[in-house]
Amino acid sequence: TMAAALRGSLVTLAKGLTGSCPRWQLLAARPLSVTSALCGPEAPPARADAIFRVTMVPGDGVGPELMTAVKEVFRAGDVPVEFEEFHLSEVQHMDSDEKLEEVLTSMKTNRVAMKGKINTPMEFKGELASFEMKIRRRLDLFANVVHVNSLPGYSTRHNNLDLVIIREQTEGEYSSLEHESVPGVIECLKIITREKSRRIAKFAFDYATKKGRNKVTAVHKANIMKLADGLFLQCCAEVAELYPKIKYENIIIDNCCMQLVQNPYQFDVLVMPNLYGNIIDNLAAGLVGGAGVVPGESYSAEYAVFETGARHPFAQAVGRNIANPTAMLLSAANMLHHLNLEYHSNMVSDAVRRVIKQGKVRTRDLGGYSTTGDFVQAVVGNLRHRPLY
Amino acid sequence: MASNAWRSMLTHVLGAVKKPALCSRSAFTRGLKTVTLIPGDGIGPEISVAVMKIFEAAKTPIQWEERNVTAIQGPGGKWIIPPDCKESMDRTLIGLKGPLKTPIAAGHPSMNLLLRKTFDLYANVRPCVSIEGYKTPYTDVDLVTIRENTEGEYSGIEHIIVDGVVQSIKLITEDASRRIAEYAFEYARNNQRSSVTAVHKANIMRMSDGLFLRKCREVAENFKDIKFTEMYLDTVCLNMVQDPTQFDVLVMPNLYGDILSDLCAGLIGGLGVTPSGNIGANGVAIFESVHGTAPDIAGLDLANPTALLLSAVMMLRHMGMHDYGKKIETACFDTIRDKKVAITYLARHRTTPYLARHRTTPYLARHRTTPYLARHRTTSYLARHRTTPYLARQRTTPYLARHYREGLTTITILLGLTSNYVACLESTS
Repeated sequence: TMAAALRGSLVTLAKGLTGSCPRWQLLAARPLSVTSALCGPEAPPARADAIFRVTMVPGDGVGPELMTAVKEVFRAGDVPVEFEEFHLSEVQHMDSDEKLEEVLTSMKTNRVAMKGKINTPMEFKGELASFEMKIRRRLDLFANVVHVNSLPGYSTRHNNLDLVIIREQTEGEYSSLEHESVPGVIECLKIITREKSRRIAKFAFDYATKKGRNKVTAVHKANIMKLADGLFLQCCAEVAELYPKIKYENIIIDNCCMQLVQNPYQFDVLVMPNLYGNIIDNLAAGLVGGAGVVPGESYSAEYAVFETGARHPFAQAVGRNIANPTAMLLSAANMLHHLNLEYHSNMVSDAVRRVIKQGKVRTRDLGGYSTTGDFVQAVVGNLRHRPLY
Repeated sequence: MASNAWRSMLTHVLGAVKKPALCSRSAFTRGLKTVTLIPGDGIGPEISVAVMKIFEAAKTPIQWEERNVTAIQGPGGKWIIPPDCKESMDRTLIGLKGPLKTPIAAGHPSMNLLLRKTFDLYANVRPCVSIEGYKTPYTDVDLVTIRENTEGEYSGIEHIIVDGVVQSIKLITEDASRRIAEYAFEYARNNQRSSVTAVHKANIMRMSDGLFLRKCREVAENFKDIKFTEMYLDTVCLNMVQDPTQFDVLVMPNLYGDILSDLCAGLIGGLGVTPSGNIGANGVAIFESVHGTAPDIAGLDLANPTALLLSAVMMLRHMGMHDYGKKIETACFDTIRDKKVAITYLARHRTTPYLARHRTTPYLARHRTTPYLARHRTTSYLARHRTTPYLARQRTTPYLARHYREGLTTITILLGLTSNYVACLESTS
């Protein structure tokens, strides 16, 4: 409330000055924290008066290690965020429904969460939907956004990539509707609805508008699934007409994968149903360095969940201190941005990017020999702008 | 017109192949095998001729039986393939097929689908091997994708439940899953490959993909000499683009196979260099090139026969003629490696039509004829302005990619003429 009041007074001040100096207005109209960030290390922002509460679900595999990294960096950077931690797992006998309810209640109160991958066992034990799917459905986290961006300083086969993958993640192949019609014959239903297709298409075009991107490509397989993917495609085309300034194209999923490995630069924003999203997210993450470096986020109308772009538990690395926390740290920075903690968000993401660019401390997946701990220490050392009191 | 010319040439060559076989029947018939050839549409006939010429040069004991396929309506309004083609295939069991056009809104299903149904082609096999001399970001790719081709997401069962809600059924059966798994392991054993990876999404589709996976595990029990691993589809995609060398034989249901086989083709340079084989029940097998028909360059001697040639090599291996297969494959790779024919741009999009229309040798040959050139644009002018380096500079892949993105027909081309390529191959084999 104090920050808001301060911002209000700044705006009034700016209004008074409009006539004489328009640049003043430009500066003052920005959120307070950005202005101070621009001033450099000498002038740290006013100390945030509120502590943000965020739900944290570390999940399985290396999730807890990545979360520890986030907490360490946040502590070192004095980030005004407090985590409410819940351990939820389907493979470690912690899968009671009460636990899930508790997590959901917390997520609903806090509205923002950080989440690792909750491992999904593949054995069928009568329950078709995984915890991941239940959380997505209960919170209606319909849009998954993965911004695939090459990291300066780490060279791969395809450099300077910049594309956004938007995936519908509540229906499609992940509907968990399966049955055995006769012994040995299983039917798995893929559901596509107009309502949800239009919603994700609108989300994609709104995202493109907001981020100043100029093309949206719908990925589909409507040549085979004429009705289901046909409906999705039709919805995308209809929504596209409402955004005349953004170019709209469509591409068949198999061709899209082929193009991504040959010439990924032709794509800008990609929008697609559930399963294709899963494929393309991982493929594109692979192009820029793997699951350890690409952040991701899921949105509903009210809630936001921050996670890694390619969601893998990476169970073989548990306790070995080798996981790459880059993705989770960048995701945490995105979360801070979402909370309007612009200054802290930049601080964290700049520090991570600087460490990658320097190239001295690299985890194994990027060809180095450093441990997760080393990397976190390097990031902490690079948190240049420390708030002073 | 052009395609007629090609067809006549085809019959001519066909005759040439047949003749020695007829003359010295006693000497040759024992090893001579018959293969049904479906030249296809567009560039199909000319690349078929190219393959036949190369086979002839390599003295392969293969006799061709050319058959055309068009969809015809049988009794009861059912679409079938021509009976003579069916009869020929039933006899020879082996087919080689060029690209077939899929007319949109012609009322009949695509010919590829019809062939698949007629011969119950349940497995699609695509070996992806990096081609030396053709640079892509990936080297040392050497893997095989084996895709279940009859059910899964492509079962074609879909319905609208209420307006705005569509349900599409993915069908997985025990029999089909076991059949494909068995084929994959047998393929691995016959082709000296050491591991088979089942690609699935059983964490999400717990029953359907679970069944597929269970069948793979069961079959793996019978093939103890082959290493069996299982991986999630997303993990495969993630690892594939980072390090494709870790994969060997991949077996998977229909949709995943469709996606992964094209992805792998992308790693080695596109559909223009990727061979493909379809294995059916009762020993039927059809080998094909999976690129488009490129009607706009048909007859211009510009088509790239690599994919069909490598498919034919696959066919030889399938028939047990490993020596001939090796010989022709080596010739093909050597030709590309030594750049005897200029592979200037193996572009991913519709390079060929564009080039054919605008700036290529045949174009120049047709339009800027010598008298014309003598008058207007002397050789030196052309040398300065419209030469290959010029094209290489101006019409590079990114340019083409930008402009011909729409092209779903993915063809890789050789800027050198098809006939040059064939000549090189003939001399090498």
